[in-house]
Amino acid sequence: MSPNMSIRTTRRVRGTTVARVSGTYVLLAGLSLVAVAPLVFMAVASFESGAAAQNLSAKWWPTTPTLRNYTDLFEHTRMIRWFINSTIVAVVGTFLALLTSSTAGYVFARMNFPLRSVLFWSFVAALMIPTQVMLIPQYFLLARLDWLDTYQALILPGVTSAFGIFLIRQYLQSIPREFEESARVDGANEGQIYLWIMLPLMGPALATLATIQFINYWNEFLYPLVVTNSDNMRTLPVGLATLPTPSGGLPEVLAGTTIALIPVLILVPWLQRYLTGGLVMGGLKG
Amino acid sequence: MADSGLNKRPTRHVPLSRRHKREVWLALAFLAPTLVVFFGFRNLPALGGLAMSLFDWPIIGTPKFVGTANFTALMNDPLFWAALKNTLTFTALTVPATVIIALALASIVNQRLPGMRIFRLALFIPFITSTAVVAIVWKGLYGSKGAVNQVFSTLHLPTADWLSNPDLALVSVAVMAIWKEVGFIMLILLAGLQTVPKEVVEAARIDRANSFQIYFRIVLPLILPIVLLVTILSTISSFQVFDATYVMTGGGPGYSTTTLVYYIYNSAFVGLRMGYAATIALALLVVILAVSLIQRRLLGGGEDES
Amino acid sequence: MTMNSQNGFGRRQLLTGSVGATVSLLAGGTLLSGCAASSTKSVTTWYFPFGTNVESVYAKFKDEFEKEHPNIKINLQLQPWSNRYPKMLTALGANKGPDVMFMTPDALIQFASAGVLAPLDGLIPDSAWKGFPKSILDSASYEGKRWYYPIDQEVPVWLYNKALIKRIGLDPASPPKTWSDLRTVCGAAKKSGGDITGWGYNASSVTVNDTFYPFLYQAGGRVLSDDLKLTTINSAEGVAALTFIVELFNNGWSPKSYLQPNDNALADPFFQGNQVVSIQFKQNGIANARQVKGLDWGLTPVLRDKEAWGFGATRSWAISAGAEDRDAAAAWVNFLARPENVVTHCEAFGISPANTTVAANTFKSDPVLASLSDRIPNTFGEQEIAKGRQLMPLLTPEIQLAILGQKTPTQALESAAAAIDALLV
Repeated sequence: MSPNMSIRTTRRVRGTTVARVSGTYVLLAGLSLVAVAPLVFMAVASFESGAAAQNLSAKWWPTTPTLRNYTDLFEHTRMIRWFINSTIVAVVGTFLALLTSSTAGYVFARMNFPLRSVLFWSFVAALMIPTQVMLIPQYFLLARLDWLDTYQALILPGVTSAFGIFLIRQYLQSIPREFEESARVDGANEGQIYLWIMLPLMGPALATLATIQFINYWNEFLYPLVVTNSDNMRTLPVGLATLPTPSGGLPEVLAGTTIALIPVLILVPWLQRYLTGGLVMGGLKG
Repeated sequence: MADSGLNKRPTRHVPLSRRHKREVWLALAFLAPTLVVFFGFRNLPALGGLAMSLFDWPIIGTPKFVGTANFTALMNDPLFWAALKNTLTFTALTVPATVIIALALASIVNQRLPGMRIFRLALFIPFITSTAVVAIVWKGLYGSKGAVNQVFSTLHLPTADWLSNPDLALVSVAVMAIWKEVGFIMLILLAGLQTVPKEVVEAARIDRANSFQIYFRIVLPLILPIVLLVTILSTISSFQVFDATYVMTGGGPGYSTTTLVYYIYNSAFVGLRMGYAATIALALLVVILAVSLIQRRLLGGGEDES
Repeated sequence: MTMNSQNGFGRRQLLTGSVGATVSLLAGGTLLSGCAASSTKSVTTWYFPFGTNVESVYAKFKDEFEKEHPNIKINLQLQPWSNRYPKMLTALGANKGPDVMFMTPDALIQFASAGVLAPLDGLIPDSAWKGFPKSILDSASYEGKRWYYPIDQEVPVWLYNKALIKRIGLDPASPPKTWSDLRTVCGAAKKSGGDITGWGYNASSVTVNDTFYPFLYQAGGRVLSDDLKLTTINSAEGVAALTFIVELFNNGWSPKSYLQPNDNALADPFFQGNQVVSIQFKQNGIANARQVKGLDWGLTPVLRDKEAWGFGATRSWAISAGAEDRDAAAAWVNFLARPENVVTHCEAFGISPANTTVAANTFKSDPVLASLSDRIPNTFGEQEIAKGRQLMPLLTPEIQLAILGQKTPTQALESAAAAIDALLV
């Protein structure tokens, strides 16, 4: 490419680039506003008092602000315990889910064995059966094991995520095999390959999976409702549902729900770092 | 869709059969914990649940074997067909829109511009709350004096009874579903976009390819497995829509937002017909599998690496 | 080159390692769970959020009871109202239900006929059954046995907004009583303009007990034939009731927002000050009204067209058939049934006692609530068949279709009746 041509190209590109970039920002800002608005309304309503609190309308700032709903929540309910339970379940469960999904996803993407396809799609098929149908058999199983009202009942069924396995498998299928192959040539065994090559490669997918798995655990309602009976084993959504409605219940529930958002809002940006950091393909070419 | 797994790839140093056996053992080792928990807590309950379709069971009380009676009843049940139609419509409204919008957004936020992380988080936030809670907010937004109508009237667009008009209710719920899921699908596609090697894109640019060609001829084919993934996932979750319709419209007005899972819930816990509910679930499974298989055929990227 | 492991993970280590991890995971999990130590006798009780201070009220009951019965421990477990049926059915089906549970009558016949309840004859003394109206005693019985002990009785309440009635030109001291009164009110409200509506019909409610059935009963109709084998909602009275409801929407007398579910009572148009006469509430409508600042409200009598009727459920305690110790459970229920405790319960949550003698001693300081017991003779309860609840999803959508004008009232009720009759067979 001649130097002259490159300068002209750059100038033209720069002009359209400015327009394109500012257009991008405007578009994203608008969409972000639409995305965030309903939740802002919900949070605003949680700071409302009186009649305005009972009516979830679209406001960007409370008309009669109060902290009462939040203080009520902490003084009169076992909110902290519910929060702790949700945290334990979500953190442990997510960690275990990452473990099972990464190993299983790796297997399905890279290894060959009989019935591989059948097994994989049977995992995915389990996703297609609604919880309402599985609920009762799962409950009966837990009752038989005497695991009702326990942490393991809350954690275990979500630990193997067909979604996670699916995600890791598809993700790995987009990644060439050269990394592992060259490592094998260099004499690494499978465990080392898994730990030092595959896991880092899966970084973005794992971060995504962790985000989603955590949120799923955090927001699950029907299943924890059915398998826990006592108040001190409740997770946040179920605990909030025991607040009396109709009178006075809604604002506290909204306050609880807003508080429930906080851990996720902290977790997601933190996990996002791995999303862009992940893949260093440059090292491949050598 | 034949499993090409048993076709041999050239291996390096180990005799074929030994390597194969080693792989099988390894696969088992890696899979063992997953298999145990999965079969115990998912597959078995799922099979048990579906097996209920051969019985009539009020949950409290003993199951009574009825063979195929539930299936015949289902085929002749107008509410089942209505619910199926609603569910299919809902899926058709939500999935293509969600995937396409998410793909566009993922590509946009994938650029190396400052502040993209904030937008990514903002767009993802709808996914964070539980549907049941956020549906309450949306009910207010769709009210006759709600935000949606207010915005529409300032833009001189016609206002409507979004949730109480049977022709509009399903679409309105679908819009909420799209709003909620787009950020999530976007994140997954973003992870996929990260796997596209920069050198390939650079090389194409040097060869004077324009953005469209790069995008559609190079990037998209490379991330096809992930696109297939999000399409199937989005389809599965659309087919299973429940909380959105239960909270926002209660299955109405009329029957316009009664979906299959809503019908399952009603049959099981209100009608006390667990067997019939299982039959509906079985039908739902068949439909989802069929649609997923079609999607796999169309989008490929399933079994073989590109 | 073979791939045996010299260092790092070999396949065998991997296999045992992962299996071992799974096992220890499962075992270790049990250590994390909160296990309750079992003492002499324990009675697990499921109760619901009756009101804001339900936990403290029942904690006091528990303490008093345990003082009297040192060898019985009461395990109180508060459950959400939401989704209580999936939870109770699942638990009872797996025989992991509570020993004592608070029940609403819709499930009585189902549970009793399925054998998950313990018959109370012999567990509750005859003296405790004195003082109940016959209708309530009948609703607690099934096939000659008594299955639950009634505690409180919901009573129908319609409120009206005195300030609004004055504004539309009617007399605030004289509340509407009949359908024609309501037509007058609605017409005046519509004429006065603004956002005020005269009345309303909760078209999206999952239960038709306090929505459609009161209209049906007031028109002189009934849900079921006398032998309980067929439905009579498609009678002339039923059509008249549905026609009136359709009229409410067609004339703009009822807010359209009632076509969508509303989970929060205080968001109801009446409590927001936009509605002259409220839809049917239970007594807690009064508690709600008292909470809303600046609402000048009054009570209407039980509404009537040809007859005066409203819905109210009798709520009770039941003992499950799988209870660990029926006598311990019965001791607890008998304690809760003591008149003074019933009074405490009812006054704490603003509900009328089911027992007439007890009712005479309740709400001494609140004449409004005390007067509500007079309404019990005009209160109908759940339909007395096992499939009572299952009728409702067949009815609500048809009513909505009639309201939307997609079917005439006769057509809608005929479709619903056909489906219901098929179900009742």
